[in-house]
Amino acid sequence: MFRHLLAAVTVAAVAAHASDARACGCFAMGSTAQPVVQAGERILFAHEADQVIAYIQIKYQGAADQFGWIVPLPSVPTLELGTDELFTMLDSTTLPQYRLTRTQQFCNGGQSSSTNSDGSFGCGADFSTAAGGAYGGSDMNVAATSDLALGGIVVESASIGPYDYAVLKADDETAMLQWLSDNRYFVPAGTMDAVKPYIHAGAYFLALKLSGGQTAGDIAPIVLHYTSDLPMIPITLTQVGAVDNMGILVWVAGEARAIPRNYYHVVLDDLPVWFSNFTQYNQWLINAVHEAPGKHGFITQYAGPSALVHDKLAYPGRFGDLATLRAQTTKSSYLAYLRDHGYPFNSALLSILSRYIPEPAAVVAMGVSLSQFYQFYDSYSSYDQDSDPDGGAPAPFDPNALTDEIDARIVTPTNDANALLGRHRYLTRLYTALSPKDMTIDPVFSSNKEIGDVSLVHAATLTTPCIGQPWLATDLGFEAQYVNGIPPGVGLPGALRVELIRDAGQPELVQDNHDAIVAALGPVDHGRATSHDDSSGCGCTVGKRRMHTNVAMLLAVCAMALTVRSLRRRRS
Amino acid sequence: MRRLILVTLLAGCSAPPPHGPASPPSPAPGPTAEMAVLTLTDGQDDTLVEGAQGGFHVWMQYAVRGMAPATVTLERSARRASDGAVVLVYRGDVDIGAPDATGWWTAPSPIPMFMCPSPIGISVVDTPIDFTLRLVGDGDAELARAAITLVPRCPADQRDFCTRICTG
Repeated sequence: MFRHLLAAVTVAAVAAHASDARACGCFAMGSTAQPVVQAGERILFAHEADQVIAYIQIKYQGAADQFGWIVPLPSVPTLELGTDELFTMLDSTTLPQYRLTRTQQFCNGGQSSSTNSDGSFGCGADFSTAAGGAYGGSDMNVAATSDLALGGIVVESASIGPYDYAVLKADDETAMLQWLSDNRYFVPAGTMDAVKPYIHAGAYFLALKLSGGQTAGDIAPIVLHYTSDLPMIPITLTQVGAVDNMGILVWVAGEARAIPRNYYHVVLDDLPVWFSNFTQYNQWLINAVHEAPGKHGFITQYAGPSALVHDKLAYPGRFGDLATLRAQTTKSSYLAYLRDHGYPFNSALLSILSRYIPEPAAVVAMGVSLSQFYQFYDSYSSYDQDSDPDGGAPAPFDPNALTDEIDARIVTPTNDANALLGRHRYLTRLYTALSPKDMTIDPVFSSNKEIGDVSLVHAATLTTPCIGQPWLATDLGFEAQYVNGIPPGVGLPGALRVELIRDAGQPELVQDNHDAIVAALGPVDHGRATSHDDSSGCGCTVGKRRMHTNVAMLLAVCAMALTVRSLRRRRS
Repeated sequence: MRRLILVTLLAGCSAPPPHGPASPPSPAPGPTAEMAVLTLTDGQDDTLVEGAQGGFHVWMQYAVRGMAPATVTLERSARRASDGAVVLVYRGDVDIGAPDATGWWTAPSPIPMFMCPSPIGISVVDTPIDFTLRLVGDGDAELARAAITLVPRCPADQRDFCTRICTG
C-alpha cells in the first residue's frame, strides 16, 4: 500500500513537470520575417545642384496603343530611361526586417536563445495590380491614338527608348486641352479638375506614349531631371487612375534624412505585426497611415547610410565588356555571354531579345516561355534555323544592333542609377497608402539633418520561462503576455505615434498611443505572476507553483529513495 | 501680373548700386562678408509666385560683398515671425563669383523660398515670415547672413487654391 502511494506521488510529480513543459512550449528556432509591402507607385528622388532627379516606375497593364502618361513639371525636363531593376533592388534591400529571438529559461538558472540572423532581407514588394486596364502608373491615364501634332505649346518632341514624348507648355488651359484633343488623348472623367492646379504660366507637362512596334513589356521607368528645390509627387493628378489604398513607396537619396514636409509622419505600432506573425504587414501599414489626420501620413521604413545600396546594381564585372558582347556572332554564344555576366532576363531584356532572336513558332507551341527559350537556348536551337516562316532568306543575326539596344536600355540606365546612389551618402525610404478621395495634397519632401536614423531591423524576444507563460518584449519597449503560445487578442492602434517633422528640430508629437497600447496589453508576469488560464498547466502563482513543484520533486526523490531502500531490504 | 512682378524683381536685381542695394537692404554683417537681399523691403507684402508643380514661392535675389569667389553652402530658411515655427530650412551649394566694380557679387537669378504646400499647422500667408539667407563655409562657419521679414499674400486669381495649400 505504501509503495502504491509512493508510486502515485512519483507519477504526480512527473505529471506536474510534464504539464508545465507542455504549457510553456518548447524551444523553437527564431525567425526573420519577410514582410510584403504592396506599392502601386515607386519613385526615387535625388537632388543635385539645382536639379531634382526623379526615377519613376510606370506601371501599366493593357494594350500598347492605349498607353499614355503625363506628368506636370516645374521646368523643361531632360529625359532618360531608367531600369526596373533599380526598384527591385531598392525594395528588397531597404525592406524592414523583423527578427524574433526565442529564449527558453531553464529552472537551473540557464537559458537558451535562438535568433535567425542570416541577414537575409525581406522579399521584394509585391507589385500588385493597383488598377486594371489602362492605368498609367504615376499620373494621368490617357490613351494615345494618334501621332504627336506639333503645335505652339509643344516645347520639345522626340523619342527615347520605347517612348515618343513631348514636353508641353501648361500655361494656358485652353491650349493644353486643345492639344490633348487634337492628339486624341482620351481624358477620363474628372481629369480636368485634377489637372487644374497644374495649369499655369511657366508650368510644363511631359506626355509619353509607346512608339510604334513597342509592346507593354517595353515600358521602362523614366528618369526626369528638372530644376526644382524640393521633390514633389503630383498625387492630385494621380487620383484619376488610382485605386483605394494605393501604396506609394518613395526613396530619397540625399545628405540627410528626408521628411514629408506637408504630410504627417507616422511611427508604426509594430505589435500587431509581431502578433500576426508578419502575415498582414501591409495592412498594418495602411492602418497606421490612416490614423494620421486626413489619412495624410508617411511611415519611414528606413533612414540611414546609403552604403547598403552602393554597387548593388553595377558590381565589378557585371555586364562584362560590350565590345566582347558585340563580337559574339552566334545566338548561342551571345545568350551565353548575357547569362554569364549578370544581365537580368526581365521583361525589358526579353522584349529586346524577342526582336533579334525571336522564339520559333514550334517552340512557342511547345509552351516554352521566352525566358526559358533564352535561358536554355541550346536545347531549342535546332528549331531556330535563321529563316522566316515563309521560307524566305535567313534573317541575319545582328549582334551590333542588339548590343546597342541593350546598352541603351539596360546597361547604361543600370550604371547611371548605380552611380546616382553612390553620389549620396544618405537614403530614406517612405511609405504611404492613399485612396483617390484622399489624394488632395501633393506630398513634398524636404530634409532634416537633426533627427536620427530609422533602422531596418526590428527586434523582439519571446521568452519562455522555466515555469509559466511566455512573453514578448519588443525593441520599442513593449511587453505582451502570451498564453499557450497565443498573443493577446486585444485591439491595438496601428500607429505608435503621429508626429510632425519640420526641416529643423525634433519631431512634434501629434498623437501618442504609447499609454493606450500599454493599457491594452495589460500586465506581464515574467513567469512570476498569476496566470489567468488554469488550463495552461501553469495555473497558479509562481511562488505557489514553485512550492508545489518543489514539494512534488522532493516527494518523488523521497519515493525513489524509499523504493530503493525497500528493495534493498527485501533483497537483504 | 505675377509674371510682371517677377520681371520687375529681376530687372531691379540686375545691378546693385555701388554701395549696396537701393532698397532698405537689411544687411547683416557676417563674420567675414556682407550679404543683402535685393529689391524687397523689410516688412512689405509680397505676392506669392506660383511654382510650376502647384506650389507657391517667394523669390529672393541677393548680393554678397567682401568675399572671394568660392563654392560655399547657401542656407535658406523661413520661420514664422510670431513664434519661430520652422517653415523652411534648405541647403545647397552656390558658386560665389567675382565682385563687380562696386565690390558686390550678385546672384545671377533669384532663388525660390519654398513656401507652399506649407508645413502642417503653419500658415504662411497674411502673417509675417522671417527669411534668412546664410553663406556657410567649412565646419559650418557662417560667412555671411542677410535677413528680411515679409508678409506673403496669395495671388488674387489663385486665392482659393493658394489659401488651401498655404495655411497648413
